[in-house]
Amino acid sequence: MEFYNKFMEYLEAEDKEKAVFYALNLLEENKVDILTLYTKILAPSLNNMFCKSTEKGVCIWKEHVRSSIIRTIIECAYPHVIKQRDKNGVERRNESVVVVCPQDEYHEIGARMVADFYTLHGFDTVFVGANTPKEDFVSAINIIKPKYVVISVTNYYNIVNAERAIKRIREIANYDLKIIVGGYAFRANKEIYKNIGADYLMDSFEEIEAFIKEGQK
Amino acid sequence: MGNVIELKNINKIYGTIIKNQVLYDVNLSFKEGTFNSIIGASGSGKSTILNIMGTLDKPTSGEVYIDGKRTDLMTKNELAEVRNKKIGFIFQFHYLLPEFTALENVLIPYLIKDGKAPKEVVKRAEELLDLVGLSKVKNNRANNMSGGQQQRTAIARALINNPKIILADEPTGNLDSESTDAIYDIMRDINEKLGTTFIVITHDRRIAERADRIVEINDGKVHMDIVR
Ligand SMILES: Nc1ncnc2c1ncn2[C@@H]1O[C@H](COP(=O)(O)OP(=O)(O)O)[C@@H](O)[C@H]1O
Ligand SMILES: [Mg+2]
Repeated sequence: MEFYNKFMEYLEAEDKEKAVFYALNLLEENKVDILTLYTKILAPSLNNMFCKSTEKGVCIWKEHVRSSIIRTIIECAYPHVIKQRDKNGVERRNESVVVVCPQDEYHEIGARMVADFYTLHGFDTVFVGANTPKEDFVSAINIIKPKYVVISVTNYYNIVNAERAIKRIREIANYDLKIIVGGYAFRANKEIYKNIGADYLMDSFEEIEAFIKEGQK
Repeated sequence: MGNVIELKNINKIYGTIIKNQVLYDVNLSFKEGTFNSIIGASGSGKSTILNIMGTLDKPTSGEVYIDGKRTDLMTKNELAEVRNKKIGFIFQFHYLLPEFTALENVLIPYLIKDGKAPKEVVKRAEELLDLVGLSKVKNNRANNMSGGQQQRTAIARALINNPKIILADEPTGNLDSESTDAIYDIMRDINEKLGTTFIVITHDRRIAERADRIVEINDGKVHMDIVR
C-alpha cells in the first residue's frame, strides 16, 4: 500500500515530525479511517520491528524510538476516534472494557489500538496499559464492572504472568466477566488461551469486530 | 529436524514405603538444535525431569529416547556411553576442582581416565575456553576465578566431548544479572555455532524469555508449553 510504504520511509529514517504529520494528515484529509490507519499502517509497521534474539546491536533502541513515534500518532488520533464514532452514528452502550498488559509487559501500543477500537464500537474503554500488577487491576474490577477485560501480551514469557492475572481476576470477580487475550505472544500459541483460563483469543481487528457484532444480537 | 530427546508417559515415584509421586504422565520432546527453557515453582519436578532426560535417574514408568535410541532399558555401561557421547551437564554449583586450572578442569574426564589428555583434546579444550571468553585465564586455578568465570569453565567442560545436548539445571542460579547475561550469550552462541540443543532449567526470566520455547512444570505435569 502506497500510504504504508511512504510512512515506513519516514519511520525507518526515524523522522518523527514527517511521520506524525503524514499519518495525521491522512486522517484529516479523510484518505484513511482509524481502522485502516491502525490495521494497515501502524500495526504492520510495529510488527515489523520487534527485536529477535539473534539481532544484536541497536535493535532495541530502534524499536523504542519507532514505538514512541507511533505512540504519538495514536494519542493525537484520539479526537478522530471520537469524531468517527459519532459520525458513524454508533450508540453508546453503557458497557465498559478494560484493556491492560500483565506485569512486566511493557509493549502497550497494540493494546492501545485495541482500546480505541472498542471505543469506536461504543464501549466506555478504560485503557490501563503496560506492566499492571495483578492485584492492582483486580481491585478495580468489581468497581468498574467491565463486560470484558482485554489482556494484551507481546513478550511470550508474559503469558505466564497473564495466567496469574486471570486466575486472580476469576477469584475476585463477583459477576460473569469475559476475559479476552490477544497480542503478538499468541501468534505461535493459538491454543494456549484455553490453558490459561481466558474465554477468547482475538488477534485481529476483524475478529474483534465480528465478536462485538455477534454480542449485539 | 528430528527430536533429540523424547519422553513418553513418564511417571516418577520416589520412595517404596511412603510413595511420593512427583511426575505424572509427562510427554515432552525437544527438536535438534533448539534452545529451550523449563520453568516452574521449586519442588514442581523440573530437576527430576532433567535427570531422567540425562539418564542420571530412571523413570518409574514410561520411555526415554535420546537421539532416537531408547535408554530406559539400557544397562549401566550402555547408559554411561550414551551420556558421555551425547550429553553435557551444567549445574548451579559447577563442581570444579578448586586446586586445578580452568584448562585442567575442562580436561578432567580425560585426566581421571588416562592421567593425561590427547593433544587434539587439549586443543579442543583451548578452543572451547576461547569460545566462552576465558583464553586469558585458562591457566588460573578455579578458586582464583569469579563465579561467572567458574560457570563458563563448567560450560566449556560440558562441551568437551562435543555433545548434541546440553542439560543445564539453574546454571545462573548463583550469578548476578550481568554474569547471567554473559552466560546466556555464551550458551546461545554455542547453540548457534555448534547446533547444540539446550534445555535449561531457570528461575531467571532473562534467560527464559530469550529461549525459543518455554515449558512450565506445575505439580509434576507440563502445565504450559509455549514457543516464541
Ligand atoms: N532423590 C529424591 N528422593 C525423594 N524425593 C525426591 C528426590 N528428589 C526429589 N524429590 C522430590 O521430588 C519433588 C520434585 O523435586 P525436583 O525435581 O527437585 O523439583 P524442582 O527441581 O522443580 O525444584 C520434590 O517434592 C522433592 O522433594
Ligand atoms: Mg531443581
